[in-house]
Parts: sequence; C-alpha cells; structure tokens
Amino acid sequence: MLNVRDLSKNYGEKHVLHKINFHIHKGEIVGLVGENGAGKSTLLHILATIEKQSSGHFSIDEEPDSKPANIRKKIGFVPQEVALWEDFTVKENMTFFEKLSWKRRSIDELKKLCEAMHLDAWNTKVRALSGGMKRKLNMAISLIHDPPILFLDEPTVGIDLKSKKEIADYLTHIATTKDKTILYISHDMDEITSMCTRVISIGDDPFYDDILTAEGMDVTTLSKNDE
Amino acid sequence: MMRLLHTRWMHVRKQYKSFLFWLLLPLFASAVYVAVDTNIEDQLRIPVGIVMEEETPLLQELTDSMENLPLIEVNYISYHEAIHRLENHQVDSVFEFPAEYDEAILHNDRRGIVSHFTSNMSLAAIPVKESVVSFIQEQLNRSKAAIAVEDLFETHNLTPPPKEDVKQTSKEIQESERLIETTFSTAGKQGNSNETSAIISVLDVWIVVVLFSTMMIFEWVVQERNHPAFGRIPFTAYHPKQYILSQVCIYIGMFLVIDFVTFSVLVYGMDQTISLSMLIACLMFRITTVLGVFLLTLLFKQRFSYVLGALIVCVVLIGTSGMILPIEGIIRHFPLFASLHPLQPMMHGEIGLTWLLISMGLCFLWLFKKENIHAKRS
Repeated sequence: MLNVRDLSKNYGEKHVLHKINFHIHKGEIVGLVGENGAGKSTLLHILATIEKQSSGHFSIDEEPDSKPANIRKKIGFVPQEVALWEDFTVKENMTFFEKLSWKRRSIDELKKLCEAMHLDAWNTKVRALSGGMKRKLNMAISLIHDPPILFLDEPTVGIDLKSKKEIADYLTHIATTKDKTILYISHDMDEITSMCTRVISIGDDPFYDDILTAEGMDVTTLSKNDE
Repeated sequence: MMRLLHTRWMHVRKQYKSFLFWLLLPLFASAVYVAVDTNIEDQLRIPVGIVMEEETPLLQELTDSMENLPLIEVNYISYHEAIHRLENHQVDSVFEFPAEYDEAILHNDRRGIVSHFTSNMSLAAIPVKESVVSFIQEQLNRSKAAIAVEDLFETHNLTPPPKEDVKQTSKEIQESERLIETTFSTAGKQGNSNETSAIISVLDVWIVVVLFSTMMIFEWVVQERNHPAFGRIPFTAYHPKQYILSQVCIYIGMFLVIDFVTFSVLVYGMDQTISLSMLIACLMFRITTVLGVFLLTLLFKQRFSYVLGALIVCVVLIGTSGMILPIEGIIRHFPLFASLHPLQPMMHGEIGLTWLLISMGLCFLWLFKKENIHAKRS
C-alpha cells in the first residue's frame, strides 16, 4: 500500500531523515513513534506531500506517479493543530470542505460520518465544542473524500480519555471493515499498543523501542544515522 | 464554480453586516455626495425676479437662457410681488420687461428694453445684469443681422429669406464657431464643461471609497490564508492559489455588479452624465484595485499590520494623486508621474491600462511561482 524507499530530508546541513525504508500493508494501523525532533512529523508531511523530500521516493498503491495532487486524492491528512473554521458549525465545516472535495457527499452521509465518531453536535459552532469534539471533527473532515490511507499527526493530544477511546475505536473499525491504511503519530504508548498492529520507531534513542517491545509490539526501528 | 461560490457565501454570511457596509459604501457615498452637492448648489443659486408684462417668443428665449445659467434661480413674479420680495431680500435683483420687448428687439431699439431693480443687499446684481445684457445683446445682434440681410436682398430686388431662418442660421454659426467655452479649471484637473465638472467630483469620491472599501473587504485574504483551516485546502480538489484566485474573481464579479448599480443610480436617478468610456474606465479601475489590493494582502500575515499597511498605502495614493494637494509642479517636472500614478488616469475618466497589466502580470507570477514545498499556505 505505502512503500517508502531511501527517503531523506535535510534542512541545510541538518539531516532530519536519512535513507528511510519501510512498507505498510493495506488495512494496517502503524504507529509512528520517536522523541521530539526525531522527524516523525517531517516524515508525515513528506508522505502527505506538504514538504518535499531531499532524496528517495515513496509510492502509494504501487503507483509511481508522484504528482502531489494525485497523491492527495488517496490520503486523508489529520494535522496536529485543530484546523477548523471556528465561526462555522460542525455541519458548515463539513459542508465547506465537501464543496471543495474530489468526492461528492450528501448532507446525510456527512452527518453519518460524524455520528460514527460520536460527534453529534451537528449544529453547534466549533468554538463551543469541547477539545475532544474538535479533534473528532478535525478527523472527520479528512475522511470526507473517503481516502484509502490516513495520516494522523497526534490527533488525540490534549483530549479526554473517553474521546481518545472513541477515536481509537473508530480508526480500528475503519481499518478492519474498510481496509483503510493508517499511519499514526502519538506519544501515548497505551494508545499505540491498544490500537496499532505494528510500530515504526524513528531516532537513535531506544527508549520507545524498549517499552513497546516489552509490550509485545512488532517494532521497526529507523535510525537517523543508518548508512 | 457554484461550489466555490457556495464556500464564499458561507464565509460572507458570517459577517454580512460589515461586508454589506463596505460593499455598498461606494454606492451610498457617491449618491450622498451628489445629493449634498446638488442641494448646496441649489442653496447657492442667486434668486432673480423676472417681471413680464407679456410672454413673448423672444422673451421666452431670453428667460430660457437665464434658466440655463447654473448659478441663477429664475422666479417669474408680478411687479408688486417682485418689489415686495426685493425689499425683504428674498430676491437679489429684479428684471422687468415691457410688453413691447419683441418689437424693440426686432427694430433694434435699445431704449427702455429692460428695467433692473436692486436693493442695498443685492450681492450679485452686477454680474447677473451683465449676463442678461449679453443675452439681450445677442438677440439684438441677430435681429440686426436679419434686417441687414433683408435690406441686402431688397437692394438687389430679390425675395429675402424669412427673418426666422436668418436668426436660426445665426444661432447655428454661433454654436459652431463659439470662441469661448465656459470652463472651470481646478488644481490637478483639466478644464471641463459645467455639465461634467460635477461627475468628476463624484468620481473622486467614488475612487477614494472604492480604494478604501476594497482594502477593508480584502482583509479576508489575510485572515483566511493564515488560518489553520486553510492548511486543508491542499487536500481538496483545489490548489490553494487556484482556490484563492477564484475567490478573488468572485469578489470582482460582485464588485462589478455593485458598480453597475451605482452608475445606474447616478445616471438614471441623479441626472449625472457618465459616458461609456468613463464606465469602462471605472470598471477597469475596480479590477485594478482588487488585484492591487489582493497583491498587497499577500505581504501580510496579521490582520492589524495589514489594516495599518492598507491605510498607509491608501493615504499615500490619495495624497499624491492631486485630489487634495496640488501636484501640478511635480507633473511639470516629472511628466511620467501622472501616467504612473495608479489613480491619475481614473481621475480624468481615462482607462488606466498600465497598472491593470502590472497587477495582472504580478498575479500570474504569483500563481505560477514554484514553491520549495508542495503545499505551502499560499
């Protein structure tokens, strides 16, 4: 599904990612962990075509086509920040991005998508929503065009346990029933171990590897200094 | 396009009050200006009393000419009413014409042709009298010419043409060979006839308000472009730049509709004169302003700094345009200044293509400029 080959990213002299290789299969939920500054978000941004890699390449669905617009059709990107129009209601936010989406969705479909995530404040303005609700809407918008692959950058940061569980349950549900492929950044090891089928660890610090291995997780370590 | 229009509508309706205010401000400001200007002009007209013992064709022609003077208000009243009003200073002066006025003119008899009454408070009696005398003089000269032509024909035993034909021909020659055109010239403006001087002032008002209101409306670009939600646009069917430019086009469409309404109100509702070329110039100016303001918004990330920057640009453009401060000296030394100033062509009702092409070119450059990253917020 997602194939990454020799991917590197440098900011001037600084090597953030160095010849990274990994493969994610369809329907997998893969956790991406690592200390701050390890390059998790940079990797996700490259895969989401927000940033350009310095070298290497990646493909989705074995298609060599690397045009950003074509890749973006296949991915749903959930940013770390809450990227919503605060003056709009849930319905208006969903409708706004549906109007710009590749895929046409009816109001009923949009509403069902929100309800599936236990987001039922359909006519409530975003600024009146709880942190958990905002996070759910943040994710729901990324799923409007029904992408086969989903990149999530710490989507549950700062929210209550119940909302975290509802989000995790929903992601597990769409991965198992709809074969969605998910790459998920989090610092929450409980979340990673309960939801992910496998983990990719970036960085040279074995801290995360040790914890996750002890929990019985399948961990792939991508060292920044691999040659 | 309908889908993009829908997204714009969703944003606009959240702040429809301020949006409508700025959108309609040029219309209201222009209309209010014309109304106030007309009112002041009416108030400033010099009331003059006309007493006619009999309404004759030549007298009618004379009073028509007087009515056409922009600064005179003609009141047809009886002799006693005229004297009463003059004593109460309700009219500045009074002209009394005898029943034999036409007869006197036709026979070139100047004696007792008009009586002029003034009071100790008559401020404009002399210039008004001069104007009336010049109109009477025209009629006398025309009659004199007709009599001369008649005599000439009779000398040669020919049938003379009707006097009316001679007078008509005289009027036509006067019109076509008019040596002095009544013009007013103020700083920074070329001479314009009385009819168009008012609309030029309205144009000045319209230009200033359009510039300012466009800058205020386009605050949305700064706000939306730098909003986290805008970061989602790359993950839609639209490139951020394509999205934002299409929104700018929607605004241009809205502005042009409002401008058509504004000019319709001015022309059909307020008797202003706007030629087709001036209309095109106005629409071109509107497009130039929108594109220019849009390019300006791209320089700012914060609302406050944008508003401050926009105000400074607005003040500098208006201040250097010659609208308020005279810039004839600058133009004399640097003739290019007039053609390079974005407001100058519009102030003269001309189509300003230079800045339209420059702003369009810059927009294209921005649109096709390659980014170092794929999905940078545009």
